[in-house]
Amino acid sequence: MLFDVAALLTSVTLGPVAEAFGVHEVANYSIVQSLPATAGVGLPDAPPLPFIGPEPVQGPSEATQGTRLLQQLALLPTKQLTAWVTSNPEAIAGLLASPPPAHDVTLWWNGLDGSSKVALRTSTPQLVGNLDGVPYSVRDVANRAVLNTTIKSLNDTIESESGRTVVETAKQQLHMLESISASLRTEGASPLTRTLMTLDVTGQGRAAIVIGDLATADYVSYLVPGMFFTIENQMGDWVDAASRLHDEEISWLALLGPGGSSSSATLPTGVPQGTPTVATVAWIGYHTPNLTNVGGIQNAYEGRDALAGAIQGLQSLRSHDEPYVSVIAHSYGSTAALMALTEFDFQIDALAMVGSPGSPAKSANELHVRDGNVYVGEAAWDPIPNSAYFGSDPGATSYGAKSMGVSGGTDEVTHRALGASLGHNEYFSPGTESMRNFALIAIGQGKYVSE
Amino acid sequence: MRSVVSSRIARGLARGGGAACFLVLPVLLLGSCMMQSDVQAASDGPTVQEARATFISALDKTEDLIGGAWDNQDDPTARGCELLSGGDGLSYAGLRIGPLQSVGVIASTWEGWGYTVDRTVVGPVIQLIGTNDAGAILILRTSDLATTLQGESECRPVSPDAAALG
Repeated sequence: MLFDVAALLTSVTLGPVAEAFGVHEVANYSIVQSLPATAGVGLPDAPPLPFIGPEPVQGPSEATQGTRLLQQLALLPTKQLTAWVTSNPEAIAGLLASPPPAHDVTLWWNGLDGSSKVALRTSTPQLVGNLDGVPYSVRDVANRAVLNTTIKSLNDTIESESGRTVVETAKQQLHMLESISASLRTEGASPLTRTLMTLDVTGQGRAAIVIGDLATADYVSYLVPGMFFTIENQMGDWVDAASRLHDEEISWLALLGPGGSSSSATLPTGVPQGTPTVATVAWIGYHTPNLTNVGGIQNAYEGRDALAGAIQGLQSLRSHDEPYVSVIAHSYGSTAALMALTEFDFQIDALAMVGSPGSPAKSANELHVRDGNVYVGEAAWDPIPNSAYFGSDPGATSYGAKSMGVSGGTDEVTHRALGASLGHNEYFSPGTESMRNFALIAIGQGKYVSE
Repeated sequence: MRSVVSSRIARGLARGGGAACFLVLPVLLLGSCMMQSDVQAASDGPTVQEARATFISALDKTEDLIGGAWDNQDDPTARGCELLSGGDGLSYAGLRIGPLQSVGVIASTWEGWGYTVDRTVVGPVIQLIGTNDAGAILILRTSDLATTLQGESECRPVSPDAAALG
């Protein structure tokens, strides 16, 4: 076991646990917000970055505090754990706002015995369901439990004698959560599993739904949305886009074989040989901006941290069989992704951006993307690219990204124009050049991407 | 080819952004604010399940024409789409992976079924994309490794039979 339980039990920290559930002492460690901010995660291989906003959320002290709190929670008996979580919701929220590094979480989780895992999942599902580094099957169970419980509670509220404002608010929240529930449903004997990887039931909500199996997939693609994407109105559409991308990747893998290495005949290092598998993530893991704040970058900071955590969680869980990881980012989501890929110390295998308003990164070389696999697409009549609204323009020649065609091309025989993507939200239709190029990039076959 | 799927995303975004899109940031938000009338689809025409059956039949017949053994990976879960007349609808997808075979006859067959067929070459892959006036799409690709057949059925209004499945 990673942690020395005996030492912890004799420490002053857990002494009071035996006396009074440890609530008060454990609570001390939840006050991570009061700790002084410290430097962000180091970037030993990255050039200096201009300071354009808050440092990534994890500071070393916060990370240590968070890890310690997790250790302590795991030591509480189930009944006391439930009581503590119920009386300290702000501590759970604080832990999720400044989570420990995914690597620490994975080590912590792997060090727990079965009963502790069950106790934590059932007592703190909102925590276990959203901690990057916890296995996805566990998160799925925890998040679905929170989703179902919250929906039931909202229905009770709506049917109660509560005031009109309370009922209307409950109805709106219920509508949002039902869109998640509907997006998780499959019909018949679906070959594709759906996992609720992330769930925040508060406010406009946050959620991420996986098509396929993140625990085993050889290729993993995160779809990161931009402005105006809400759970209530776009969760289903985004899951459908992820499903379509999944089909497209499977199709091209069959046709071209696995890519991502110097030889198209073999899988990338660490990926087992055999029929390659794919997982795509409909990731709405941050609050996308709306009309009132689309000109600001605060939401991009949230997206930066959440996306980095999600990918680091995957790479932590799959450290011995790391999949080929790509990010498909749209609009404002590309700004969040670009920031994550410059300010955090992890690498992905490919990045495709469409409709990007830019980021502080001055060139593709600054991005932690292997082998220069950075692609940019710009649809006709899309006013967002070239705006360089948040910094440099990824589509500029000087940026150094590769161009990704979205115009549709022409028929080889008739020379008729083919399905083009027009405007800012027309990149994800089946049969389009943009969807084909996304899939080729995501399976490491960028050499076939059309310009 | 009409991008009914992403138009649905755009329309959903317009719902979220609201009519203020046109008032506040008309240039920046052009793509996201493509408000479309939420016109109810005509009640005539096939149901979602009938459109699905027609689409699956097209896949099956195409398989038979090409021959050989195929791996059926059809996703039985309906996907959202936008009706040609506006409004939300449902369609079903198919994905089959098959052997190396000549696919020369397929384009003319699809055209006989009322599809417009486009041909493209992507590296070592020959690609046929067939679309019909109802919005169904068939995609056939072949390389020296495999043949794949996929697509989506015509987008139809949510009907009681589909709702029951949901």
